[in-house]
Amino acid sequence: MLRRLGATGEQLRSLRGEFRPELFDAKEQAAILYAERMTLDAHSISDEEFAALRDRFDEGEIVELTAVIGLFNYFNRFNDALQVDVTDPNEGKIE
Amino acid sequence: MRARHAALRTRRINAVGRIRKRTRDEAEPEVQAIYDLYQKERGNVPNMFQTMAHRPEMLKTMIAHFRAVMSSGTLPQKLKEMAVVRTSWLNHCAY
Repeated sequence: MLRRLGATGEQLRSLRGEFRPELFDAKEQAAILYAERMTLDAHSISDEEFAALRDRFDEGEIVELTAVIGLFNYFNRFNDALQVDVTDPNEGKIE
Repeated sequence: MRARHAALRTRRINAVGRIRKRTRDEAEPEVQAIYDLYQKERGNVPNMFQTMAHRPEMLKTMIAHFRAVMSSGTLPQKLKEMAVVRTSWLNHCAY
């Protein structure tokens, strides 16, 4: 999906490994760092970190981004707890 | 860390899952409609949806929320998908 939206292979590898901020624009960097903080330790996001987010996004955008990250934390936990197997994109037949 | 991701992915693709996926034939008409829509749009029905189909009301409202979060608002789709990929990678790492 991300490749179709224009992300590079390098960007994808960075998202799935050691994050390299120089590969992303300022808004993307802020969003990705926020996703990390919220996913790993939402309770400890500091006022300074939040202020940095406000520098890049308006309140509606912050709410939207928070909902995106929260939603996929929900999906990840649901799928991991129930060991839901990865959907094969080539599988065309449903049971 | 990479080895852990690879092991998790192997288990996920080959696993049966802890909860049986509901088939289209046994599902309520409203769930069948969802299955048919995704079959048409994507060519498959995500395994998570087939699992959540044990609770049709939750499946319906989850999809509505999912679509609203990912398809409404003003953030660029690419930026949202970047946050999604990073979030999912971090969760599997933490797992």
